[in-house]
Amino acid sequence: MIKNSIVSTGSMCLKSALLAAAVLTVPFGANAQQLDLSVLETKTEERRTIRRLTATADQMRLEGEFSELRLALYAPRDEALLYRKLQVDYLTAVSAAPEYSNLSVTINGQFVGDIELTSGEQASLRSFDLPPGLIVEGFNEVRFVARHKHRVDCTIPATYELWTVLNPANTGLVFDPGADTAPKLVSGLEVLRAIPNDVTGSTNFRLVQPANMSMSNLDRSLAVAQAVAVFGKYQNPNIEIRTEPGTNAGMDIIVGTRAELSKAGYAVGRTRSGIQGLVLMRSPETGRLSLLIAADSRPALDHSIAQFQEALSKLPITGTQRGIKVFTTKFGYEITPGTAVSLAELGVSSQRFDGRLMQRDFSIRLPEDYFVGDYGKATLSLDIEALANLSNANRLQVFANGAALASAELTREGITSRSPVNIPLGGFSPGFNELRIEVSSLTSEDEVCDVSSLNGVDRLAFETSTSTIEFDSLARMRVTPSVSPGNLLPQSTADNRPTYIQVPSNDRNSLEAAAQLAVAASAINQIVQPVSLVMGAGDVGSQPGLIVAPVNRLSGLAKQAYTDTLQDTRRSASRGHVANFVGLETLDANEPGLWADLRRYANSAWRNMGFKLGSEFQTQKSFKLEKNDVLISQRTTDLTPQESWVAFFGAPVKQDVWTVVTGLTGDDVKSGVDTLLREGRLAWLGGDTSLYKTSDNTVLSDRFSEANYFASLANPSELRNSRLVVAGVISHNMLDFVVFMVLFGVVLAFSYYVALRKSGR
Amino acid sequence: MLKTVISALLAIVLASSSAVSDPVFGHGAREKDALSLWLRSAWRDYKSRFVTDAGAVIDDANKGISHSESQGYGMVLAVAADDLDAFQLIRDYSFETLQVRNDSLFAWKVEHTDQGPNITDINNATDGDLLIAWALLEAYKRWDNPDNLASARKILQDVATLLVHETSLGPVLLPGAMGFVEDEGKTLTVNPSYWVFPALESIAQFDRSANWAEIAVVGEEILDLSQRAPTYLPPDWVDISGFKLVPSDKFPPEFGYNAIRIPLYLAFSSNAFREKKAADFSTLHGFSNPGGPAVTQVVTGAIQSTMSEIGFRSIVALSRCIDTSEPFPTSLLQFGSDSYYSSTLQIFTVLALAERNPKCLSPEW
Repeated sequence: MIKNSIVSTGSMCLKSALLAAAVLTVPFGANAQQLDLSVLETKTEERRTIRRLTATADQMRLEGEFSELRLALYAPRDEALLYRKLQVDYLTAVSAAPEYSNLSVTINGQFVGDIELTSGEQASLRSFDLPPGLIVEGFNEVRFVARHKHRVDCTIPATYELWTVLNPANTGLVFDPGADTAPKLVSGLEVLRAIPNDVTGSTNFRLVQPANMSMSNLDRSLAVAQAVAVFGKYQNPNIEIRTEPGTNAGMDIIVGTRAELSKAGYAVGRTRSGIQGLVLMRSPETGRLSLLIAADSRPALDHSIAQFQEALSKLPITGTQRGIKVFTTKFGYEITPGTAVSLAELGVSSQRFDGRLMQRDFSIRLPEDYFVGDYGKATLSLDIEALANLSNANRLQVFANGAALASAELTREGITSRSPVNIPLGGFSPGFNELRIEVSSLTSEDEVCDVSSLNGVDRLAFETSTSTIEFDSLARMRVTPSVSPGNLLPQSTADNRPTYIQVPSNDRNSLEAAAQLAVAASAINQIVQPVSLVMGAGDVGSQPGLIVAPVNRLSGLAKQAYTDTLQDTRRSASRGHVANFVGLETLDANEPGLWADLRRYANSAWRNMGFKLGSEFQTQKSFKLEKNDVLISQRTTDLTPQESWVAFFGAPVKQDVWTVVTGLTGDDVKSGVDTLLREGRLAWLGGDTSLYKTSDNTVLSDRFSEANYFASLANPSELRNSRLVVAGVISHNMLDFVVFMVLFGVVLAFSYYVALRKSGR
Repeated sequence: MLKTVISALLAIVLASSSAVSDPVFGHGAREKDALSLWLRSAWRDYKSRFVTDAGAVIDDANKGISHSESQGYGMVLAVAADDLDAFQLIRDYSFETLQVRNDSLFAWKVEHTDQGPNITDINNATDGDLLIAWALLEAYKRWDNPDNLASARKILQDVATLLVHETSLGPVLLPGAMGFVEDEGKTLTVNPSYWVFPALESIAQFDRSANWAEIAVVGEEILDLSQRAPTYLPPDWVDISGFKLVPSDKFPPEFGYNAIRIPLYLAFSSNAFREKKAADFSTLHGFSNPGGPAVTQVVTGAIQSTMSEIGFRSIVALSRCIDTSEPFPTSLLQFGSDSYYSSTLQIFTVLALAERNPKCLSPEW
């Protein structure tokens, strides 16, 4: 073994600063997103600590008349028995009628408590005692169900005014961590599934980069953060790059050679981990974790990090059955084409509904190379029985990633699996997809609107065990450019080489935003993608990879991607009058006249056939960047016609890809990316360009360049796949598909005619 | 279709014009007064000690022989020093004396006898061929003589045909046309320091006879795989069999005079990731030794000897500077006492500093 110049302390380990940092208390009462929590400061009388639930305020927002939220909470072995109290900090909309609105909480299927939702301007804090043994080591399911009724209004729009939001800062398990507050060495890596969230519900990763530490160590710290994010499914990372460890809830990652760490004041002696040079410590009070990986040299460090990643991938998921299910399906239920899956299996519970608009959310996961341009359909068969005398105006609507994709009339009897709803596959994204079903259930009594008399009368019975969703064959073809989360971090054209992340030097905001996106994308895609950070002294964007910079620091193709958005005429999807004619344009629902009716009918017919009516709807919208907005755009090198065919038939073609993330300033880039992740909008990105508007939390997507098609798993020459792939390529623009089919029919008819003539008939 | 043709033609025109306008090797050094002066002085001294009137570049520590590698280094340095006469002299000698095989490659070894130059091994050395081709391309960029471009392409065509071997890792560079493939192509012996990264990057812009960019990436991968516990130093020679890569049993399993060039080539690369790998070398065993890096048995860590000449110590200092911004010691700029190999690497190191890391040099430079 080589002797190292570093003096090993032989003592337990770690820098005093790290130790000191790890024992500070979580600051109760800190402000959280959109909530005034100042009132809470007086409510925490005793000294205790909290393990927050792993979600942001947006993800803990219970909307509508009935809303359900399931979260997976990991209890480490040494804390599981200490968790005896659940604290809930909530704020309810003023429009909610308190006598008819409540929030119930269950843990691992066992009822824990019920809260009458008294609305007001101040948040309320409630806590519930937990019976011993309810929380077990590993993952536990925490389920919230909110029921709201409007005080005065019985219309559908009024149901959108009903909400209860849980404050991530003060919602969680409260316990006494004991008198000993010194950080403890942890031997098992499982605890990395229990990184405590910060007050906003994000997971704070602090990449500790002491002064004069090599930039290549930052790449390594980022690789470790990615591995941990994949392991714990932390999709809301808040990345900080600092010279010293942090103090509050979160995690420090310290990576370097022994010489570097020694120089910075760290020393690694005894470790309890099976991986040489790896030390994991945890503060009992804040729960903050500190992971330190040291080795004699950088290649040795790489070896240790690879061992660490491998060790994480081998650890089983433990906990209660319900807890494990919530965790495993956190980024969507893995869809198998051709197999119907019940909504109960997707985590949607059956219910009898007594309100006016039933909203149910669930998520699915499609293959990363699923072909977005496919013209196929998913079939949603719902078993919803009408229990009351419903009026004629009720509808079912299906949304995917925030966009309305399908709708159907609700009969007086409800909806049965005999009349399934077709959802165009083109509306889904590769990878993670969020779906919402909305069913209105108005009755003639709503016109009178006597709120008190309406309570308790069930209108719908939704049976989720017999309601199913089924995807037919999925064409497997990667489309570039595409900003869907699976493609956000472009892979290097060279296998096993890192993706370059280019950021301007002296712009920490862009650097942290880039790191944040890399870690979030890893978590959602469940893959660690090696990256290499490159700081550009001037403008950035000359090389392929992920480029994160304000607009005035972009160059090359990255700059072009931004300037494209300044010219609406660049949009390839625009179809003008013809689109209008065939019913592709957005129509005002109230536009009168026969012509509008015909176009509405055509619009509905196209949708029902399974066609996605995509970006054409947004032609009048602007991609103009405003403060805090963030533009995510992807561009690629053009393939030659020959390369296109090679790619189409499944052979590898290497293509450079630029993903650009930009905003007006570095501050805007950082705050825009923060909000995008915190609000869970990453899965909503689509096309080759998406603009995230922070002001109204919406995503505007479009396509500015011609797409390239790469066949992947499926062999396009197989009949089943060729039908999907060829039709998909054509139907990527529906008008093209129509023209193609017409021409095809004409050519076929002409050929037949010529053949008949030649045969003398 | 017309649009595609026009785009393709435009791309070719743009690619060729941008290639010619790329900075020529040594540009960074020549545009700074003090460095330019040092380079001219060092090159003058180098020529006087190692370049014969006929154009042979002498390896004085190796029985005074010349080889394709020394000829290639000499040609590259002549371009860097903007010395057309010297470049032509060395080039012409290389072509007349060493290009004696049935292909466009160069015999690797020539002894100088009273009867004149005597080729003692007709086999080629791939790094020598690549260095010569690179020098010709740089000369073409500098002096715009199309003959140099044509000659480079002929050499590269034969390198692609005879020396690029497909493996499970991807295309690798055989060290020579003969003697490095066994078991019907299943086992290869390669030298990681033959991947001259700046040369491959420059070549990739001009030549399509092989996928030079991919070859460079495979070289990085071979380097990664060859760096193992306990020393993590890459051996001079490795054997590849399938996905298995081990120090070659045909050579001592040492990190030595071959592999010491690897961090230099990585540092000279215009690829940021390779530059980081060059920096990573500074953390390796022996790179903090003030006496110079050590020839080290990679499996046991045993030190065999110290590479104490300035050229080798310069590479270590370069690696340390990239890593931690530690200034390059001015004592390593003294020139004139070392052997051919160390002197060559010393000038290359200073050029790498000037081109890629001028911050490492003191402000007056």
